[in-house]
Amino acid sequence: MSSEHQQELEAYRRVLERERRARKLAEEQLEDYSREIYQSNALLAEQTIQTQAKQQHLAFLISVAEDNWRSESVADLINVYLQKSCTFLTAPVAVYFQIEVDLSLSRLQIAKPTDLFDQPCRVADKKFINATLEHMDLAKIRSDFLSRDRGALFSSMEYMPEAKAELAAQIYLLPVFHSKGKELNKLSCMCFYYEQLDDVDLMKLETIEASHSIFSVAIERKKAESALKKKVNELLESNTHLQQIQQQLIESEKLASLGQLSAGIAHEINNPVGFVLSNLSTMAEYVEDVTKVLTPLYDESLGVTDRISQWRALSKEYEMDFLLDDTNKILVSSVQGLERVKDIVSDLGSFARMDSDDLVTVDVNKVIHKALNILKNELKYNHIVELDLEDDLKILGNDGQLQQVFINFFINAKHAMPDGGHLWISSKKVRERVVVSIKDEGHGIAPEEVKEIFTPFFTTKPPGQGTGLGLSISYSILQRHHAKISVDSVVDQGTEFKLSFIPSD
Amino acid sequence: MNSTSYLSILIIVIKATIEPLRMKGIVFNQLQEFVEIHHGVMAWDQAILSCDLPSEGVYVSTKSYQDSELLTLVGYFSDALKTPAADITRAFGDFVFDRLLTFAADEAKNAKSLRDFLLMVEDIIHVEVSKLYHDANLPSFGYENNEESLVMIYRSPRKLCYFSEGLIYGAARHFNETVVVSQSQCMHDGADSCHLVIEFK
Repeated sequence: MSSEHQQELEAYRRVLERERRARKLAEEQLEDYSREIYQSNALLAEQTIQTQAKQQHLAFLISVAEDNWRSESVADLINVYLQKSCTFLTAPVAVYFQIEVDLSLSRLQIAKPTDLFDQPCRVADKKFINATLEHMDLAKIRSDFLSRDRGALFSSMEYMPEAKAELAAQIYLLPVFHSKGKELNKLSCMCFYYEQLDDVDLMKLETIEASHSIFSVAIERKKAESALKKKVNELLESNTHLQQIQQQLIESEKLASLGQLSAGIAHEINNPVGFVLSNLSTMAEYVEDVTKVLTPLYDESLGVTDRISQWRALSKEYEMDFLLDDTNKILVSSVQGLERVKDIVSDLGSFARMDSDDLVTVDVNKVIHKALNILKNELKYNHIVELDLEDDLKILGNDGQLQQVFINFFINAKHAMPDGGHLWISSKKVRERVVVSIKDEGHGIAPEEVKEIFTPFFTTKPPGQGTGLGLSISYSILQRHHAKISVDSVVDQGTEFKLSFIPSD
Repeated sequence: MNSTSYLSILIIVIKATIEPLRMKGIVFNQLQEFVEIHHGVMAWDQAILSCDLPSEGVYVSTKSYQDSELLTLVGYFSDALKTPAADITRAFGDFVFDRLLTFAADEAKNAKSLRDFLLMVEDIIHVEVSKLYHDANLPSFGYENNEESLVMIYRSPRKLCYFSEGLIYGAARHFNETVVVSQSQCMHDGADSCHLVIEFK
């Protein structure tokens, strides 16, 4: 072989050698790469598991938060939470209880996982739980956990003054909340019982730790909610009671005003009754006279001409024409007098009747007339009532109660004008309302007193003249009628009240 | 840009200053192929034997090697072939273009003309190369796009402007276009950047 070939061969060998080394390096690099890929795959798998666990935890937290809103009562809330959390933890049982001030146990609730196999589990037995709670030193548990926010894992034996091997269990205890204020030594807690330490999933317990603050807030909220419900019910009750009392007040005010008006009403009845009585005695005399005049007509001993001439003479003597004419007048006035009595009595009846407070269609003008009828005696001497009533004004109302309102306003107007004056009463339709105006020319109401006039027991009248309830009761009656009241008053010039009602059609 | 980004840029700059520039093995593999085709296996072997190279001439395409090895090899061939180093680098750039094109994004491969392709180098091709070799030290290009010519402003601490010239010729061949590449200014003459003027014929 020539040296040239030899050299070429050497060169190829060296090139080949370099290629081999390069390949080896490349292979090493490839191995590094695959190792890296393997490692990152393993890391990824681990991260995936962690992510899934986190997702589970998150799903748990969300579902707990949802349940907190849905639960009906505190006990329900606790039960759902216990069940959810021990299902999540795959713990055999979850227990909730409260250690009271006197170290007694209350509100004990036990829940088991919803989907766990039905295998009998020693620690999940109710008897077992009761026995452990009985034998554990609750005072020590309370003092250990009272100031803690986080839970702790311990063996039940640690808290037993006399260790009982048959009651051994791993317990994770979570203080839910401690009562503040005077019941400072009360502790609510939640426990998860485990057969053995290996069953405990610390990571999931972290999630329970995270969720328990939501839970305690939810319990507090739920408690506040039921307290609120109770308060609302009490309020509703006292409101109903108040309404009844108000109804009674309306009635007694009505009776009070009746009492005050009774003298006037009696006078108003006595008057016609008096003149009807005197009319009747006059009528008796007239009947006597008429009998005397008619006597000759029935005398069989006299002839027809004598009978007539004697009757004529007697007719003249007893003024028969006048008698007949006056009899007619007396009868008419008596009937009128009795009609007045009848009206007053019937209006009084509708006023005083303790009827229901249903609203029906009433003619507002009729109610005004009835009220004026009862007050006739009060207003007839020094006061002039001017009526301006539009026809056919029907409103939704209660006859008796409206009468009470009007009587109250009219009497007030009269009291505002002790020396007499005009009382203008008008009713008319204004847009969609029926407006009744009651206007006097009395002493008026001082501006600073206007806002007080509907306040119960506020009165400017001397003692014995008013209860101070009239306007406040009128106000509440008008409110029930959905009527609006406005007052326009000028001192020493007069006051106008405007009541605007809802028409019935 | 947040402070972390500034920090990472600062670290890159410091590293680039302290550490010698490194080049991917693929460039050396290509140089070997280029030499073997034109001058035979023995010429390459002789070069490796003659030069004192830290890698001892063993190159793996995906590994990085010091820039100085390439400069040493080019210097050796310039002496051995009695050819200016610039010409060798340019010829090598021309040769290596087709191989490097495989790394380019489809968008660049489907460019309509040489000019379009060259305009994509900075934004598309370098981005793609960075994905493949995240530690590659790539030059930056600026452009002056004129009607008759295109000026590519080259900036790189490597000062491989002649290599870029060669690549442009290789690209022109790929697109069946004829160009003349010259430099109106060059970092080798003390300028802060090289202006590669490409005239389209």
